[in-house]
Amino acid sequence: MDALAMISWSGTTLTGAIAAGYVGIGIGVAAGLSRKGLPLGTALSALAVWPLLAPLLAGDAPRVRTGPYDARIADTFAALAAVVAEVGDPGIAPDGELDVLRTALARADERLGLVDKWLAAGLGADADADGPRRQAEALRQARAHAATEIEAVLAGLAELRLQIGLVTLAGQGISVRDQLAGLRSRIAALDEVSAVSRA
Amino acid sequence: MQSDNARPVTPIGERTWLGLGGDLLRAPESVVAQASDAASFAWLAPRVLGIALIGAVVLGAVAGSYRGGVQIGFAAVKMPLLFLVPLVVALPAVRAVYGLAGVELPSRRLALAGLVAMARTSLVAAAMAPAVWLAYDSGLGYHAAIVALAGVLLLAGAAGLPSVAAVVTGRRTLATTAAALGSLVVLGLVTAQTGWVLRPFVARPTAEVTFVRPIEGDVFGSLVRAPLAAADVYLRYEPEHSPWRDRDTRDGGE
Repeated sequence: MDALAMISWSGTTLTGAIAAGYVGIGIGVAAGLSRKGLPLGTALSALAVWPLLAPLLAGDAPRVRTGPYDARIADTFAALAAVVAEVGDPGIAPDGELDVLRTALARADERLGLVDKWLAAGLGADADADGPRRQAEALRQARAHAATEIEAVLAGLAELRLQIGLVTLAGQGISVRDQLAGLRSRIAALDEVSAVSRA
Repeated sequence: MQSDNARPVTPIGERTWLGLGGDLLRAPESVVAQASDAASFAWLAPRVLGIALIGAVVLGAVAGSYRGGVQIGFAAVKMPLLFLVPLVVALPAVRAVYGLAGVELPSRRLALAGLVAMARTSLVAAAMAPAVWLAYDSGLGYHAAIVALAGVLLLAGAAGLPSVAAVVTGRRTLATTAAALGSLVVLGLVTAQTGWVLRPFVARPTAEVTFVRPIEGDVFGSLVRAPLAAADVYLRYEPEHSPWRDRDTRDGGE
C-alpha cells in the first residue's frame, strides 16, 4: 500500500505541512545568520523571507564599516552610479569594477577609523621611551599618508564623473577603465602597505 | 561631498525609519543601489520588510473593519501574507524572465528590489487606507467594498511593483523592457491569486467569520462577478472544482 496514501492529505494538512516546512527552514537560516554575527533584526527577518536572505549565508559576515570617510565614499559612489546610469552604457564603468574599488576604499577607511580610535584613546601619548614615541609618531604619519591617499582616490572618482561626460559627449579623454585601474592600483598600494606591516 | 546628479546618500546606520520610508517613496532606485554592499543589504532588508509589514497590517485592519470584530484581526494577519507570498514565490520566475532577456541579476540586488517594490506598494496602500475606511463607514455595499479594496491594491501595485525594474542598471533595451513587463505580469497574477486563496478580507456583515474560505473558482471570475454584483447584475454561479476540492471529496476530507 502506498505509504503516502495512509496520510490524509487534505488541503489544510498540506498547507500546514508547507507552512511548517517554510518556517522550519526559516529558523535554520535565521540561526545561520545569527551565528555569522548579523544583527538580530536581519536574522529574524529570515523567518518571513529566508529565500531572499539566504545569499547572506555565503561569504564572510558583512560588517557595516565605519571610518572618517564613510559618508563621502557613499556619496561619491552614489553620484558616480547615477552618472553611469544616465549615460546608459554599463560597459563604461562596470558594476563589478566599481564594487571592487568601493570595497577596497571602505576597507582602507575602516582601518583609518581604527587608528583614529586608538590615537584618540591616547595611544602613544604618554610614551616616555624613545622607541614607543617613535612608533607612535610613525603611526600618525602612516595615518596621514593613508588619509591623503583616500582623499586622492575620492578626488579621482569625482574627476571620473567629468571624464565619463567627456567620453560620452566628445569621445575624448582618457579611457574611463584606465582611470579606474589607476585608482584601483593606488588604493591597492595601501592594502600592500598594511599587509607588509602585518607580516 | 554633495552630488550634482544624485541625491546625497545618508550613510547606512544613520538612516531613520521615516527617512527610509521617504526614500522608498521618492527614490526607490537609490535604495536598491545599496544592495551592492552586503552590509548595507543586511541593514536594509529587515527595515524595508518591517515597513512593508506595517503598511500591510494597516490596510488589512481597514479591510476587516467592514465586518468588524475578529475579522479585523484576521485580515490584519492575512494582508502581510498577501504581500510576502508573491515576493517569495514569484522572484525566481522574475529572475528567469530577465534571464530570457539576457540579463543576469545579482541575488542581493533582486531580493532588495523585490522587498523595495513590496514596501512601496504597502506604503501607498496604507496611505489610501483612510479613504477606504471612510467609504466603508459610509455604508458601502458588500460587493462595492470588495471592488474598492481590489482597486486600492491595483493602484498600489501599479505604483510599487514597477520598482522591481530598478534591479536593472543602465540603459533600457527592448529586451529589458519586455522582461520588466513580464515580471510585472507574473507578480501581479501571483498576488491576485494569493489574495483569492487567502480570502476573505472583506467579509459580509452577516456571514460566519472564518480565517480562510475553501477554494472555489479563481480570482479572475470573482473580479468579473463582483463589479456586476455591485450593479445588481448576478450571473449564474457554479463554483469550478479545484483539484484539492475534488481530492477532498474523494478522500472524505473537509
